[in-house]
Amino acid sequence: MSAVDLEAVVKRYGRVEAVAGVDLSVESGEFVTLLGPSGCGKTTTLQMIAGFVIPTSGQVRIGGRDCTRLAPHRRNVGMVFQNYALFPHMTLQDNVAFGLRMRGVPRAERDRRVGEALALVRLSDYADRYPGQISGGQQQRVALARALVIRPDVLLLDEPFGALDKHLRDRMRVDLRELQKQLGISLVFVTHDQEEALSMSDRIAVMEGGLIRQIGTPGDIYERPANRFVAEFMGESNILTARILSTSGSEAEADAGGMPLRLNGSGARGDAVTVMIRPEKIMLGRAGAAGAGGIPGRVAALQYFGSSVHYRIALDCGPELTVIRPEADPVSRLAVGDGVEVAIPPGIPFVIDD
Amino acid sequence: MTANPKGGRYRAWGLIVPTGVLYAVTFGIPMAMLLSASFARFEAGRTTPGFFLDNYTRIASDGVTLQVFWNTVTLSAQITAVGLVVAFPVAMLMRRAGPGMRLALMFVLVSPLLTSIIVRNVAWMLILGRSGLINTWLMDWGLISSPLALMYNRLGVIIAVVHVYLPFAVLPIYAALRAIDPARENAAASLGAPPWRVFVHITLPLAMPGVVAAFTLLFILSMGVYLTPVILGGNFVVTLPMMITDVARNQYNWPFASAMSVLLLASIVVVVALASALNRAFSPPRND
Amino acid sequence: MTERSGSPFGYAMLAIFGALVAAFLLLPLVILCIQSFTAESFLSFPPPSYGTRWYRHVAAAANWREAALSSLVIAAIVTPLSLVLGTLAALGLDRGPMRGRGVLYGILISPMILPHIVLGLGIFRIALDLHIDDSLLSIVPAHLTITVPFVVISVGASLQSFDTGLEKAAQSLGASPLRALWHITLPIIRPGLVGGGIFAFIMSFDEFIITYFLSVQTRTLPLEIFSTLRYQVSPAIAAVSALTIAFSAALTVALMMRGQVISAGRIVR
Ligand SMILES: Nc1ncnc2c1ncn2[C@@H]1O[C@H](COP(=O)(O)OP(=O)(O)OP(=O)(O)O)[C@@H](O)[C@H]1O
Ligand SMILES: [Mg+2]
Repeated sequence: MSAVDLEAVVKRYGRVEAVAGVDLSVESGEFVTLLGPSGCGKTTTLQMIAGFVIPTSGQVRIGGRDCTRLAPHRRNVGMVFQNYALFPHMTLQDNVAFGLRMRGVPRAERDRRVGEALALVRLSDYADRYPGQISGGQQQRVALARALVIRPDVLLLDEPFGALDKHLRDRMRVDLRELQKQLGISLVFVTHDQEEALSMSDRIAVMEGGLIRQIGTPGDIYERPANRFVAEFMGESNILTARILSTSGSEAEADAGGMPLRLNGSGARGDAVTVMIRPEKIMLGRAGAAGAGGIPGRVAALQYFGSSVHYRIALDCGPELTVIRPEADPVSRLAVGDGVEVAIPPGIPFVIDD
Repeated sequence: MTANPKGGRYRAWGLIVPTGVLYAVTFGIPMAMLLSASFARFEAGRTTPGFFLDNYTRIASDGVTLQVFWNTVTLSAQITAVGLVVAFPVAMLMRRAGPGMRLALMFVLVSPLLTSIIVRNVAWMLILGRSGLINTWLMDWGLISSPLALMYNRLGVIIAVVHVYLPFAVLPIYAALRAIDPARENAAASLGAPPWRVFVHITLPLAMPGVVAAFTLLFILSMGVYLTPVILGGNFVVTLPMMITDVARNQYNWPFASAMSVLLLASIVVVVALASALNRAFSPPRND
Repeated sequence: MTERSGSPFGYAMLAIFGALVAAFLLLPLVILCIQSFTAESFLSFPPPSYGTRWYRHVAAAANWREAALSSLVIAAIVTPLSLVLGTLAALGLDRGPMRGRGVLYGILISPMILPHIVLGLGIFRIALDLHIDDSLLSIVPAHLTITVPFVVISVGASLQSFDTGLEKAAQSLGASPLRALWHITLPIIRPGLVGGGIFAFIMSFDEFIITYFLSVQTRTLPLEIFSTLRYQVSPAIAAVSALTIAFSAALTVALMMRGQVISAGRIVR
């Protein structure tokens, strides 16, 4: 049974459609991420699951039960807020105990469960402190414990790592993912950081303009984006227009402004299609070097990133391509103006919706 | 901060000197004179300077002054309580209202501040008096046969003083409410708290600094009211400021008026101290 | 910030309560203004007949005219003086060292929480000794003591949100510190100045108890209303009151148009 179902959910604010019709199922024990640029409706979607926003139309089900119009305090949903929203006038112990008190859980059981929750996030020694007396990372963990202790049907997190520094963020990612697996909890996570989404999720829903543009595993989303928006949002990409020359099975020969391509995808002869090529899948060699034997061009620009180098290659036949190579790659001694040859392995160019 | 040498920064305090001189003449020296006068002796219209406790023993023993002081304290407590109870929902409304409504409320709150207190008192006389608006209407409708005593008693004074000082109560509470991150209240709701429990456990405790500020302002201002009890209380509600005025202006008994002023000031100091203790109790510990 | 989604029922209750409080605050003044237009020689609501009889009476009566004049004169002297003193003090605090700032600020605004009765008693004492009671020489400084704190608060708040980098930029462009202050700082903190000025004017215009102690001959408007009230609430008082309400309302609306009432409202926080 799925933990959360959204069915044709719409939220309108006056004439703004914050969410324009979202269908989403979160399976029990699944980690689903809502990913998208600012203003695409992620928070609104999450708040409709939590009950802080009532949908204009559509249905929200939690654990199979229709909750569309149910007040937040009557849903059994755990939420971690961006700035943690800890209660500053209560100790960590009381913060975590709050949800259990509201549920009338007897004192002894309450103490036991609060103890367990604090232990889970390694904060047992801090139970009597106040939120103002602990670090940001610790506050983050209290917020998590507070949401988990009520054994929610689903845990919702809205950009929970936004306020942490990079080092702490990486650590929290691992911790959260482990905790989620260990407890087998269903989880909806909101972020605009694609790395965060790729590294944690079972499935990612990429949103834009109040709609889910693609939903799938991190591999699906990254390797086989369904459209230009997803391709561009998920990282560097080369997007070209190509004309189909011939088709055989699921592969096709095509021409992109003079550059021959073997596509993964099909179409009628003469069709114009949009093609995406991931820059790190393109082979690059010095012009004339043994084994190069590709399309000639020269380096128009390059950017050094430490672990990798990004090249802008102007092909002699016209198009420009972005190519990413590891820093350790022998060709990484290239300089602007150097002649190069580019090879695109068959099947790597990928037809997407425009 | 700035590259100014330290001496340069202290030199800026020179700008405060004119106000300092003003305060010294109108406030510092007079208060010192007041304090010393409170220990003088007043007999048969003659004042003997010195260190006598006559005035203070009189306060403690004449049976009237302490009674009036106590009346002033209880009246102030009533005004403060009514003021807070009225102000809190208004502040809540201002927080939840949209920008237009909020501006309108702000206007309604601030505009009476720009009207003379005595004028507002006059307005209440016209409403609460024996032949005022309320009594006339109630009698016309046959609901009562003789006028209700709405004025020349505490009720009238409380109504009129709350009318004058309500903005001073609403604005600090509103400021405190506005500082509360709504996510905290949402968090409580998501943890299962129904609206009234969110209010009791989260909103109210977090708004306490504003409530304490409003309490302090209302109480201190109420302790000093003179005009409103004179006009709307007649001679039936006597406050310490009224008694001070009478003793000073009509009996020329400076020493005793001074001693009562010291008592009034001391009670204000107590309220301020109480407020800062409350504030400390309500502010959660933090170290950053 | 997340939107707080409280219950709509609760909001409706609050809105009803708010409407009642607004009525409580405004209606008495409205009723007073309506009554002032009575053509009778007594006050009742609604007045049996309307007219400007009492306005004409007030305009012709020497006591009201003199009282209004002395109130205006005093406020007109006190307002610019309190703006100068208060702004200087606020600047001094702002530009002075952090250390001791809180204490100085507390001292500067302390007359606000002092009961005016005590202030009046003290000032009366010293004025008697200096033989300047019943004179502008004592009334003006007394009013200043009440009005300066409001200017300090209002201008201080504006200065706090003022970016001193702007002044430095002006100086780097060749302006002397004084010219930078005049051309950059003062125009930017103008809302604070205007708000403080308004409050200073109203406070002085409204001041009762200290003037009551100090004056024998000098009659300000509040004093005149007060002494007339002793006998009866005559329609003349309603007319005078309505005039002062119209005066402040005009002032408030004019400023509201320019969005400056809110900065005046900040004073009472
Ligand atoms: N209460 C509201 N009233 C009016 N419009 C709103 C409201 N809440 C959200 N919106 C609009 O709905 C759209 C989606 O907002 P939402 O907060 O869901 O975006 P988001 O994806 O969470 O963005 P971010 O990454 O910036 O947090 C935005 O255009 C926003 O301006
Ligand atoms: Mg958001």
